[in-house]
Amino acid sequence: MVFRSGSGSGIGMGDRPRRALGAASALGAACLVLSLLAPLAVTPCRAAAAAVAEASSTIKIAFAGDSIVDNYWSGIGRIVDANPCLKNTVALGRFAKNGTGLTRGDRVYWPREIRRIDDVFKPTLSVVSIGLNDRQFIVDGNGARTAWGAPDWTDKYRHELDEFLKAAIATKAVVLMVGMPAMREEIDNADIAGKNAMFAAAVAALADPNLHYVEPWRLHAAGSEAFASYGPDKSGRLVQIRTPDGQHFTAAGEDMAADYLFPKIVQALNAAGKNLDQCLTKQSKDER
Amino acid sequence: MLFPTIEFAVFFAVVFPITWLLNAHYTWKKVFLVAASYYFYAAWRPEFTLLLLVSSVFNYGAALLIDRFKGRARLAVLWAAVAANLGLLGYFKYYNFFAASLMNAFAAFGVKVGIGFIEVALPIAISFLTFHALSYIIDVYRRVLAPTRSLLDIMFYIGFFPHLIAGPIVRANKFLVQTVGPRDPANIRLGQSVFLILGGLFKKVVIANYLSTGFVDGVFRDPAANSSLDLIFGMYAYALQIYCDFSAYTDIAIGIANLLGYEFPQNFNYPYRAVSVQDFWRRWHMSLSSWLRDYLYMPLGGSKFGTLATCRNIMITMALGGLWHGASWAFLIWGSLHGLALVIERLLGVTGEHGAKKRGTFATVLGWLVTTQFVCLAWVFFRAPSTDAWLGYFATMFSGRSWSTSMTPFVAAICVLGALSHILPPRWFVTLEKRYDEASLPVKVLVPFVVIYLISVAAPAGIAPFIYFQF
Repeated sequence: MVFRSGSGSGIGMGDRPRRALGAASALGAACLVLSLLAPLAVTPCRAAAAAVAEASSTIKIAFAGDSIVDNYWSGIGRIVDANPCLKNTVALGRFAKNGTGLTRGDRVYWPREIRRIDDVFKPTLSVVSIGLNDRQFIVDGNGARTAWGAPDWTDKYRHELDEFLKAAIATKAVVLMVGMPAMREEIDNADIAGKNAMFAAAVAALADPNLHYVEPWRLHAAGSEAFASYGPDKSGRLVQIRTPDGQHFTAAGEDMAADYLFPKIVQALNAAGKNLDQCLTKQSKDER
Repeated sequence: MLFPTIEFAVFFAVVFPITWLLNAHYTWKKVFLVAASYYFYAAWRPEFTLLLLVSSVFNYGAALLIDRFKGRARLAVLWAAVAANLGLLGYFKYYNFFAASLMNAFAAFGVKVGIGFIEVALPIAISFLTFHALSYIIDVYRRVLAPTRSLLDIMFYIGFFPHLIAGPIVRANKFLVQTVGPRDPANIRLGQSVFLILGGLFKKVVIANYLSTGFVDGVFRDPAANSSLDLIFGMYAYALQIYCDFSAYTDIAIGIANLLGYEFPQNFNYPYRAVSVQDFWRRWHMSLSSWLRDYLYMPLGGSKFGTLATCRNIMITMALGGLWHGASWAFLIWGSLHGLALVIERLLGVTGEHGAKKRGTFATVLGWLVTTQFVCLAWVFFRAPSTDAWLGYFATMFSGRSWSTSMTPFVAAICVLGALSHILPPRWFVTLEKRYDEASLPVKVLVPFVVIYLISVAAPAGIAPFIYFQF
């Protein structure tokens, strides 16, 4: 292929290529500076968490996993923000990594990542949701690949799950492993049902008092759960609760899921001796 | 398959050489590029490639029919084809929104109406796909373009993977002429393409992603819980984020298309340098604004029938342009606000070439200041997740409640980098591209690898989808 520019050939670097490399490196240099600064990057919530962390009574909640956990972080965040007492008592840490899961250790190896989160944030409780992106081949922590659909895929996935849960337990934080909610596509739902069952079984098998499996949020408390992109809010108005991708929550959906999840968090914290009762109204305690 | 992923890099590493190997056999090249584009689209949902195929076949046939008829029959076929395209878009994208709005409206008067919702996946990029198809059949109707006899060409035009997901919206009359023969490799602007791609990756993967996760998402999560200063910073940070996110996608798309030998139109031209809202729309998402002008505003009558009709046409165009972005009242409000601003500008006579020439330095600076503030304020509607959120956002921001900030020095540095994309003189980028074009082959190969490596090191973990994917 012949490109329009043809000058500057030769093995040694003349002035032109040197200048080109230098000029082009401006962009690269910016990246390099950023890469050095990146570890210093903190999200506002983490910055806020650091500020609140001065008080020993601060309860720190980490949200770790794939993009669904970001929805829980948003919804729980609004509950915390709306309550001045909770805002002074609870610090939220946002550690979702979009597009990741337990299958692709080459991108983010979650057993390692959960330990890193413990190092930087020291959570009292971790809300974990993972598995949304896991209908694919597995690359384990050592780089070994297992094809999607291979006979040993499920065993390998269960092994990755165990590794992750053991690493999560080792952090000494209370861990809530939240099941994935109903999705629009049947193929997703079949996959989710299998994974949620696997999560529940793995949590039960480890029998650790700090590790809990939380059933996923459901639009309808009873009966068979079906995906719905619209649903009634607290005032009865129909609002969009799931995003057009048929997987994630809109802000209204986040609030619904958070209303379901928050009492579970309070309950798990209570069981671990961390009481939030001073911040909760009688009504919210009754709801719990 | 997102642009800034290993999967796409591998995909392009296969597509690029094969495309040029097939260049002399251009029919086979088109067959290959159509197959590659369908594979690219199938990476999200394989079954929706059928939609791509049906849309291509339908609009191919519709254009031939339009060309065959004259007079009213010709117009009738056009309307039927437009209705079919918009019907498909409406079914997938807007049905639930209008059903919920209708039910809520009746419920407000105590009347319970049961309209069922439909639970079907929204085909990715259906809005872009529809606008490409409409461009083709309307241009054929207007005789701007003769209908192509090649179904392959239409499949290629509608499905070509660089523009398929988030634009730019390429006009049929500009693209189809590029499909008639082999492409000349001498027309590749290598330096420009490489730097569009690398710059796009940097803007998206580093600037937009860090701004999103490091500040903007937190501020917009619960606006009323933030300080006034954080909300002001959040508004500007989001303005930078959406620019770096969306312009990144189209920059990469334009660069990739050019590397394959095809020209796409410019889509952004320093939009935050605009000195009026009209000027902003000549610089922001230019392919959409010109599409709306040519295929909606002008058919409505444009500015031919007096001031009142012109204002009405502007409002309709901008409101529908807002709604094009998504099925929600917030987008409708955002578009209508821009429409209102355009109407006010027109009534005040502050726009147009004549006005720009007459404007002095003070008026230009004032115009820039007012336009930038308006555009950034309007972005709050675009980003806020609900009516309560934008109400809370403005109420808190203007209350002056607190002037503390949670913005970290790192996020501030990222904002500065984002702003540099508008401050640095364009000639610097041209020089950079020229120097790259003049460099030796090893340097040409080395630079992208080094920059991509550095971007990957600097980037936050995980893949954040482009904002405009949802449209």
